[in-house]
Amino acid sequence: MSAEGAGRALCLDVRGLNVAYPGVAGPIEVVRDASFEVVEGQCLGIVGESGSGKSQSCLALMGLLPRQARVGGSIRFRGRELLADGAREARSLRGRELAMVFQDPISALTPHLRIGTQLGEVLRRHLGTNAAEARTRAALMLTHVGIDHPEQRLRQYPHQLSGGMRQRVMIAMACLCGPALLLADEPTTALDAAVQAQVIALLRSMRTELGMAMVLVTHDLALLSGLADRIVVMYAGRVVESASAAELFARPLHPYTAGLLACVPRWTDAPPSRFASIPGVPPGPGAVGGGCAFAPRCTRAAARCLQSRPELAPRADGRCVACHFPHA
Amino acid sequence: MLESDPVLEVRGLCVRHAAREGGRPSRAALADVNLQLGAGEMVGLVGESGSGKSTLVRAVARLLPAEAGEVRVLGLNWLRLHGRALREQRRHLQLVFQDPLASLNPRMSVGEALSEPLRAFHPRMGAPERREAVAVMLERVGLSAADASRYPRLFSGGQCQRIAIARAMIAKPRILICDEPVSSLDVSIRGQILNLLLDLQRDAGTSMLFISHDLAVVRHLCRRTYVLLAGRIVDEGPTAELFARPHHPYTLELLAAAPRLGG
Repeated sequence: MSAEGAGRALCLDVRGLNVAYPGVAGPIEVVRDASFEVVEGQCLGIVGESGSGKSQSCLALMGLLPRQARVGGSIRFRGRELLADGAREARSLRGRELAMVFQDPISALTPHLRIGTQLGEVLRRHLGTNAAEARTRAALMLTHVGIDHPEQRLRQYPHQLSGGMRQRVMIAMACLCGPALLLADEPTTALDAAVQAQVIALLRSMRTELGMAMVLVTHDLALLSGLADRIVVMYAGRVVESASAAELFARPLHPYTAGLLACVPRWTDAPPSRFASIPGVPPGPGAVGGGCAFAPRCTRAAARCLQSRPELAPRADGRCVACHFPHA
Repeated sequence: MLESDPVLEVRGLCVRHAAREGGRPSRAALADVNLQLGAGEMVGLVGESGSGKSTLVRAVARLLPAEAGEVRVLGLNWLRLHGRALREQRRHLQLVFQDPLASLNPRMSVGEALSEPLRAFHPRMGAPERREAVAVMLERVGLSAADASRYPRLFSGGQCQRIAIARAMIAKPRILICDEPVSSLDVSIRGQILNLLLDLQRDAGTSMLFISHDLAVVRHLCRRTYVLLAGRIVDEGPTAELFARPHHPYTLELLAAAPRLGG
């Protein structure tokens, strides 16, 4: 457990999470042995590229994986196991104490229902609130997320709102029942830069005001700077590094993390003649052999990396990295 | 401002989207847009979604009708060209779009996709010559000649964008318009594609109009930049100067919103 989290209760404790899908040549593992935790009130950033398993992990937490997915390991939310067989309790927690904001608000909202109906449904379903009170609380929450004329908005349909406004509605909907943990999967990817900055600011203030913990899943490291307390880096279904945000930005240990950081164009630098990138492409699902999945793209890789997979292990300085030859 | 005659010159371009019957009257999508692209120049166009960036690309490429104005490509007014004359001129201006998989025909092998522009623009070229040109181009963009017989779905997003770039460049256009060419790609891959565009631009001397919402990329890539807001160019100038001392409050707002490390 992290030093700064010591003494504070864990909101979420994920141990050895596996997600696999049946394939022609045996199961295809998309999340392998992923472990991470979130301390009450803190924000965890999960960073990864396409196929890293970051979104699959998020969906597993919400119990939203398709039926054919095989999920293993343990997900403990405030001490309660969510992956236990027939976890009726888990269903009642999800949406109420554990809520999620999706990437694309237009497909996450129901197009033919008014905003007010959709927000009201959440309160009725989870808290049994009556219609009149649900409306008042929905309007109040819209004001909270920075939407003017809430009464008028409640009567509108999703298509009548702008992209940024829709994402604010999504956040309002997720926060209605006062969740202890908010999951956000690429919440700003579909939005313009200026709106993106506003939505991130909103998430930050909502987190402080409601005192909730947060998991923010993204491909964009720059987004996490100033928002996440801790960051978990995933590659090809596995966690390859986990550190406090400050440590990770200041001194990345895994060559992949260092490479990703280098790929973000800096403003302060004089324009370089070349753009930084990581050679090769991320491996497809199930395409990983016995060694380190990143080895084919890694400048530090040696023969050992192709043969044995490095385990994610805590080091003497308390940091966790899965690499045979980490940066110093 | 330009050393030589521009290869692409847009003057007073207006585009109006057709109004729906019985709906509100149509709003101007582009109003009096002026833009110049010099020979071998890399120019940026930034703005948010809805600002008219993609409408501008489509109107310039004659994929959308323009209401008024001029689009001069190598001195010829494209808006006056029709039919065969326009088709022949298209070899000078090619496009690369944001979503590479959507811009490739899934039922066409990579070799067929790359042969199409050659067939259209160099009808006298023989099949062996075409195959050779396709092989050279594939290797030029970092793929292998053997990839010609494979289909787009077998490639990753970054590789598909290489194929789309190869298809756009194979007939040696003078102008390449890239509409958000790396936005849908993984962060670790973006640099590869941007470097490829830089190399192609340097080697072939192609002029590029680079459309992006990522100001950091535009800052590194483009010498001059235009800022589009609600269908109008509101700011323009040498990129370094523009970003250091923006004239328009909107440019300032865009700069303030750009995500950056340590911010």
